[in-house]
Amino acid sequence: MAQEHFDLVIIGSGVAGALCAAALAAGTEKHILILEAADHPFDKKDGAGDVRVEFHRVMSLHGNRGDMHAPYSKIANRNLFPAPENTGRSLSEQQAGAEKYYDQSGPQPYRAQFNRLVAGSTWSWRGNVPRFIPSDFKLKTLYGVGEDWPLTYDDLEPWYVKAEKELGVAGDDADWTNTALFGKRSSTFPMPAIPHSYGDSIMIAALEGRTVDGVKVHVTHTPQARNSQIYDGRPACEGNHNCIPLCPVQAKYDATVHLRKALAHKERVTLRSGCVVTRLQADAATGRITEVFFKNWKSGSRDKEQSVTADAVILAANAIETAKLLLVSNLATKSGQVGRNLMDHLQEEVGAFMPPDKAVFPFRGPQSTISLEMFRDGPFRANRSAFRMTIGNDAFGRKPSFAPLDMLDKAMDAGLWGKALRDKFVDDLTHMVRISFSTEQLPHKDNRVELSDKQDDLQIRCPKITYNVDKYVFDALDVGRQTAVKLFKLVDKNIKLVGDQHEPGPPAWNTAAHAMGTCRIGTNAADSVVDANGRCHEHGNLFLAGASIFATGATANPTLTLAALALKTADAVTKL
Amino acid sequence: MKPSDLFLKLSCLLTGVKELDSQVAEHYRTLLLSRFGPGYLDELLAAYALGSKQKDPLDSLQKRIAADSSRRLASVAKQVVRLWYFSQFNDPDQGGRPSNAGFHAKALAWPLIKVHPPAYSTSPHGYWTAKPK
Repeated sequence: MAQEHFDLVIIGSGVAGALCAAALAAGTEKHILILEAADHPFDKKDGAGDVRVEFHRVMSLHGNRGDMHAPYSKIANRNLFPAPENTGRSLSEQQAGAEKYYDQSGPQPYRAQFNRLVAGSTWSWRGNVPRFIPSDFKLKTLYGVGEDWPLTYDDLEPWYVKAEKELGVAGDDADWTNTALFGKRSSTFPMPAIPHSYGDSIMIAALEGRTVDGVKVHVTHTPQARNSQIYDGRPACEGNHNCIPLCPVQAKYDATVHLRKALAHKERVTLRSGCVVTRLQADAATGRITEVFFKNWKSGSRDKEQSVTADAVILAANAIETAKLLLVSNLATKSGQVGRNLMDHLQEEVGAFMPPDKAVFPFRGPQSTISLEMFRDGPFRANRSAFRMTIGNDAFGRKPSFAPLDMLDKAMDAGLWGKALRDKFVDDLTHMVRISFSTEQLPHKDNRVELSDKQDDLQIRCPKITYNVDKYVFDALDVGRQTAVKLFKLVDKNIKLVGDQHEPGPPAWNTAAHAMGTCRIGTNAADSVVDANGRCHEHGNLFLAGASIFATGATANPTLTLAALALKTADAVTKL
Repeated sequence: MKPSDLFLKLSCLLTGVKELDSQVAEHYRTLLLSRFGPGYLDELLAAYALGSKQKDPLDSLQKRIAADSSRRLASVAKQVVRLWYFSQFNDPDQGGRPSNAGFHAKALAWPLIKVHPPAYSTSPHGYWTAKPK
C-alpha cells in the first residue's frame, strides 16, 4: 500500500492544535491530518447522540468540586491513560497507586493533570483568560530571575487580540486602563464582561478602593472565554456553575469549536482519533521530520505501528506528552532543554464565613467572576513570586474538607439532625467565600519530564517526572495567604477564617493543572528548543504549539497566551 | 407501617425537610438495602419507630444515635441524609468514595441554599447578579 502523505500533520487536538488546524485549513490549501490519542464522539451532529448530554449524565456527582475527570470516566481511552482520581494526593499515595500514569520520582508530587480527550483539557477548564503582563516577558532583565522571552508583550499583543476573538472573550475594557502594569490593549473585548454575582457585590463593596500593604484594591471582572451573549453560534452563560469539569451548554469555549471549523474543510482536513503518536522520524542529514509513527488502539492490530509522511509537523500534545515524544524520538537534543523546566501554577486559598448580615449565596453563576490583579508585579519578584488573586462564587473552592458534602458531614458529626442540621448547613453554605492566590514557579532545569521504564497498555513509555518546589513559591504562598487575610479583615475585623495559618507538616498546595515549560522558547538554540514562532531550532519543519514552549509561567492562566502563540505559529507555517 | 412509609418519615425527620418525594425515597431505600444488605436500615428504623411515639421524636432519635457507642446508627443516618441532600452515598464498591444515587437534580442541598443543582440552571444569563429570593 502506498505511504500516505500529508502537507501537514498536527499532533494533538487540544486548543493549540485545533486553532492551528482551523487557521491553516482556512488560510492555505494544505492537506492536513490531525492525529489525536483520544477517541470519543465530540459533536452532537456526528450521529452518536449529544455527547455533551452524555457527559453531563455520567458526572452528576458532587463531592469535592473540581474533579476534571469525572464526566469522562466512561470513555474507553481512559484505560490507556488512567488518571489519579484526586490530584491532591501525597507523593507516596500517587507512587503506590496502581492507576498512576506519571512515574513520579519526587521529591514533590507533580500534581498537574490533563484530559486526554478530543479537544483536550478545554472540556474541563474553567475558562479564565487573563493575558500575561509586559513584565512577565522579561523577568530576567527586570528582576534577575527566571528567563526573558524572545518576544515582548507588544510583539504578542496583536495575537492576543486575535486569540480573544477566536475563543470569544468577555471582559470589561475599563478594568485594563493601567497600561503601565497591564500593557496596552489595541482592541476592545469581543463581548461585555460576565456580570459579577450577588456575592461578588458584597466583596466589591467591602474591598473596592481600599488599601492593603500600600496597594490600592481594584476588583476586576475576570476575562473569560465564556459567552456573555450569543457568540459564534453558542449561547450565553446560563450560570450552570459547572465550568470545571463541563459546561453543559458550551457557553464556555472548548476546542471542539475550532476542530469543527477545521473539519468543515473535509476534502483537505482529516481527524484520526484513537491514534497515539509513538515517534517522529527525522532525516539524518537535514534534520527535517519526514515520518510520523502512531498506534491506532481502535484497530484490530493496535500494537502495530503505522505511519504517514509529512512536509511539516505541528506538535501540540501538551507539556508532558510533547516533551515525551521528542525524547522518545531523540529529537531537539542539542539544547539539552527538552523535558526540562517543567512548571505549574501553585495555588492556595483562604476561606471566610461571612458575617451574619453578609450572606453571599455561592454556587450561582460561573465558579469565579472577579479577580484582583494588582499583586502580579513588583520588585519583590527578585526574591519571591508574584501572585494573582481570584474571588470565588464556589464557597471554599478546592479547600479540602470544606466541600458542601463535607459541611453536611461536619454538622452531622457534631450531633445535629433535623431542623438544626438543615439550619446549620444553610447558614454555613450561604456565608462561605474564598480568596485564592496563584503563584509563579520559576523554570528549574531539574524539574523535568523524562522517559520512564514503565509502559502504558500500548507499550509506550510513560513520563517520568522529577519535581520540586522552592522558597520562591512558598514565600509567595505565605504572602498571598497574609494578603487574603488582610482583605477579609477589611470585610469584618472579626471575620472567621479557614486556611489563614500556615499549616505545619509537609508542604501543601493546590495545582492549577497548568503544565508548562518543557520545550522552551528562546532566541539561542544552545539553550532553547523553539524560536519566537514556535519553530524548532534543530528541525526546520517541526513546530511546537502549546504551553510546552513557555519560557516562564507568569501568574496568568496559560490558555490565552498559548492560543496567541499558536496563532502566531500557524501564521509562520502558512509562509512555509 | 410499610417499610417504605417508615423510611420516608425517618428521612423527613433526619433531613429537617417536611415533605419529601416518596418515589425518590423508595429508590434510596432499595439502593441502600441492595448495597449494604437487607438488614442495613433495621436498627435505625427501629430506633425511629420507638422515638416516634415520644413527645419529641427527633430528640429521642438523636439521643439514641448519640448513645450508640458503635456509631453504627450515626453511620446509617448519615448515609440517608447524604442521599437526600446530595443524591450521593459513600459507596463500599468504590472504596468508600461518593457514588451517584441518580437524583442529582432533586438533591435538597441546592434549593435549601437558594440555587439550582450545579449543571442544571433553568435561569437566564445574569440571574446570579440578584440576591436570591
